[in-house]
Amino acid sequence: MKIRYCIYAGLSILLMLVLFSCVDNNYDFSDIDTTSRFKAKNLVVPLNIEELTLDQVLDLDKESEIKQAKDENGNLFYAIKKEGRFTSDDISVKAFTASKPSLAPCIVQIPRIAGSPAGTVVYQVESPAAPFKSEASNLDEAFREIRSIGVEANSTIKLRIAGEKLTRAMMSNVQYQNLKIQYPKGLTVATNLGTYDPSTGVLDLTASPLTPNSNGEVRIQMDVTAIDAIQENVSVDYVNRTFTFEGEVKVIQGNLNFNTSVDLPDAITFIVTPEFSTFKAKTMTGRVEFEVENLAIDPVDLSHIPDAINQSGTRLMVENPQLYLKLNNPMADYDAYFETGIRLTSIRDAVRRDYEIDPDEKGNRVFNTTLPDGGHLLPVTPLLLAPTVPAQYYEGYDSPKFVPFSSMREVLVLEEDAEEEGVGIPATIQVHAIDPAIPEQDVTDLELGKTYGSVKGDYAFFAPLQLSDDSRIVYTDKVTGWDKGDMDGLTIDSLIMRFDGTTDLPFEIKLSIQPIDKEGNVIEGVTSTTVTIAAMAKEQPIEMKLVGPVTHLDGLLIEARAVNQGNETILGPEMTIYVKNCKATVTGFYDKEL
Amino acid sequence: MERFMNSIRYIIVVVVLAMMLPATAQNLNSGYFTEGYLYRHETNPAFGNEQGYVAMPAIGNLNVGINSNLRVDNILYNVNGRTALFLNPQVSNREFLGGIKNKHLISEHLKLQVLGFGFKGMGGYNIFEINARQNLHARIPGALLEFMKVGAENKTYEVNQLAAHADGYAEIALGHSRQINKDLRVGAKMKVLLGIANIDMDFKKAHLTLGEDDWTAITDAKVQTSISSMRYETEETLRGAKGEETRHRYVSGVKETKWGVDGFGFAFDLGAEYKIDDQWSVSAAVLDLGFMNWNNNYVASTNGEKTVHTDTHIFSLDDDADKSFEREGDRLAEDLAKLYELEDNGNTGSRTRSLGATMNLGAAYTPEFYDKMTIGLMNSTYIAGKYSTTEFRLSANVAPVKVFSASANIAVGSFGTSFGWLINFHPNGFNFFLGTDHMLGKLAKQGVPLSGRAHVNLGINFPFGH
Repeated sequence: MKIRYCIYAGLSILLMLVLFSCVDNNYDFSDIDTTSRFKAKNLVVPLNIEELTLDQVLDLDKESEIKQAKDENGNLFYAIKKEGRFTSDDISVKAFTASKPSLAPCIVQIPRIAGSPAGTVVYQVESPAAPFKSEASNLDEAFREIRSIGVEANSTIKLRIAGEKLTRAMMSNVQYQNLKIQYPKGLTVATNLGTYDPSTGVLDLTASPLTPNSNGEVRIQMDVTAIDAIQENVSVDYVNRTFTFEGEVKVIQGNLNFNTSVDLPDAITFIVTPEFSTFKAKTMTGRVEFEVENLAIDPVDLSHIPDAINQSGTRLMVENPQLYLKLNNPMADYDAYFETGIRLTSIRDAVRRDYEIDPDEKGNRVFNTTLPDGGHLLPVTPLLLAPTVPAQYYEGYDSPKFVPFSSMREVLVLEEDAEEEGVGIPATIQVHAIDPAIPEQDVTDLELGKTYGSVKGDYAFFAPLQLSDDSRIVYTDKVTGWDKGDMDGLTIDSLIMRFDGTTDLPFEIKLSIQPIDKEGNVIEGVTSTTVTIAAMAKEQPIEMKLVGPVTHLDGLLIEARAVNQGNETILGPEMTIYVKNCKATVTGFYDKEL
Repeated sequence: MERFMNSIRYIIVVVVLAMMLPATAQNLNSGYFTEGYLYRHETNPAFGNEQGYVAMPAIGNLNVGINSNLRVDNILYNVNGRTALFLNPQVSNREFLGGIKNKHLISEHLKLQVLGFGFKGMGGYNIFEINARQNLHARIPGALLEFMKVGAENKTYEVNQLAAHADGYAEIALGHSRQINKDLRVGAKMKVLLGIANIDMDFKKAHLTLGEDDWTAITDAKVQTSISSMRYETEETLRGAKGEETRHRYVSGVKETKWGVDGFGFAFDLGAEYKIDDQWSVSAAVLDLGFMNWNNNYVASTNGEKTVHTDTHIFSLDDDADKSFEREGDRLAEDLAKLYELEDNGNTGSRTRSLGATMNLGAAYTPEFYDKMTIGLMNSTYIAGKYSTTEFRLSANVAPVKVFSASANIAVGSFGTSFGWLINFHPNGFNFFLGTDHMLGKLAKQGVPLSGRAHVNLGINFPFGH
């Protein structure tokens, strides 16, 4: 009985299951396709964007050559600022020493003068000329004309008499009177006896009689401190750089008086012994010229100009670039000025272009450190090389001497048709000094044997960034790296960016974006609009559209093109772009296998 | 993006798994009016039996089922011969949204009778039961599913109906019913409850407004767990813009779970049946009217409402600025994290929680021409706050012979329309029943009901006495 009921029950269960359930083979949980699509349709994403200053756009780093500067009213503006140093080889002047002349003693018999008063015997004193020559070589190349030379030298002349009857006792009663000795002209001397006349070269000893010592000698000593090089007996060969000083020494007049009653011979021996030391030149007066060698000026390295203003297509006029120089003049103590030409060489890639300062009235492209008023030179003389005199000088270079350099404004920009030769701001501006020199000029008492130091100093390259008419900035940037392996499923059908643009930039900006893939290629089949933000726009409604489908997105290619028209604009860091009510409307989807 | 995708994965997995859970419905409403069905007292303690019975241990009254108003085939579709998620691009919005309601309830119950018997005595009918009970309720707002499928739009999404509750406990029940007079019968059960586990997850508020000027998100979430010796697992992370990172510790899981008795409670079932005449009778019952006091309450919470306004974040296009996209993005991410990261508040002590009660109302009619059949209309309302449901069930019940009775019924309610049936063989000394409140319908290959609803109640008992 119970078995029968169990059979009934089992059959009933089976019947129920058959009647009321069945397997749907369309549903197999062992193999679920988890591909999922997450969609957004016209989803408006509000974005609050902070006011953006030009300073933030340029994103200057510490190394950037673009710096902020302040005008006379305290307004900030951008300028290329680069400071550097320069230095040359030392300027020095060699000393020289003229050789010691070789002079032999001169021995003559001087005759007794007849008719001398009683108790006196008089001899007439004269000697033949004793020639001498002093030479120096390897004079400094800077010498162009030597007019006088300060020297360190001395000269001694000994006069001695001798004879058979000349006893010691007699020597104490003898005197030279009216004695004159001929020396070379043009010396500056200090003598222990007599007076030297540089114009005649005569040492006049007539003022007081000279008494020989017990040996019958008189010694006359002179210290020579200068040689007048204009004299005929001085010659300088500037080619062979030699110096020659010639002359003669002789006793040209005089009497030798003996107070004696002894009968003396008709002639006695008179011995003249002149001597000169070497002529050690200490100073010179005349004309000199120095070549300033190896004047190395640090190049103006502009390799850190921000991309925002240094890309292909950018034409950024720099209206009045200025090169300030502050240099020492090692010869300033002698009122000798420094002169040089300047050539700037811009280097863009392999393209080099040269620019030189304006020619002066004589056609020379040089400038010098002479002050306009012709006064004495200052040790430090700031110089300003620029197209025009700016309203405000670079800090630390006050009251510079202006040197016109009209072509300097072209150093930083090239014309559009020169694109194949490189565009934009050069990576480097080399500054070359052309024939730097202390040109030929008078010096007085130029100390010889001295190193005067180098021509050295500082420079500042300063160029306010200015957009003149038709200047343009083309800035492109790729923002990439979005695809980290999970962007393949993203498809953007449309992206519309709407915002109100406000700016105090005085030029319009054309802005466009294009999607790019992982290879950096612009994704094809996508249309994008270019929008224009007007100059000085006030809450201008802007709408940017990107209509897809955009797939394999890795980033955006952003191009901003600023074109300045009709006015001149100094770029300042406080200029702003303000995006208000920014909303991105997105339509698209993201497919992903969960 | 990956965290977002993980969240989506979790939601889908939870929904599908919840709907695939084999479970038991606690009571068989299809048997409310069926003569010979020994466990009518489960739906109304006033109901007694003609005989005493002893239940076969473990399968005396086994209830397995799930109820949901979200169909599995609303979540999974056949696309080109392959089972695919509703998020598949080839599943149209219209097709998906047609099956989506404002709120979706997934309800799962377990009642496993370990021991049980009934007998006449003490002037009435007496019941003793030891049951293992478990139930799970999940509430999924349709807005969340719509958001996932349709995509983000500029409107407000209220997903604050997202919640889940689960508890498990042992129940020792003593029941007694008696005839008050010839028309009125009343009954009651007293239940002593031993709590094993309880979890309440509640998004009190999940509000997302995608405005055109501002996106606002507000959340207020709390998880309360009562399991003996449980601890939350936490992770610590540094978040925020570079240079201003702050340390965050948040709940990332559960550790050190040790199962044991962690709560104690009482509940009562009360019922009455009144025979109006020979044809009509009415009945009413309230089940599981009681509470559970849990010894421990481990709380993880957002600690109140957390609000994020995107318009407080201003971005700078300057990469070096303090508000650069990267830095401000980090700050926004930090803000957003507080929306979903829960803090471990530790054990806040004991917690008393009321049980979900069920109210059953019935009216039965026995036609004069065929007294072996009863037509019954029943309303069963589950009262549990946000998980409350109700249904009306019209049934035809027959007991053509002494050893067999059956019921066929149709129900309309919170979970939609369903068909139920019961067959019961009850010869002398043996009682076997098999029934369901929701027929399986179509099944996936793995046997999962595509309707998201399944229920079976079966039992083998041994009647005795007269």
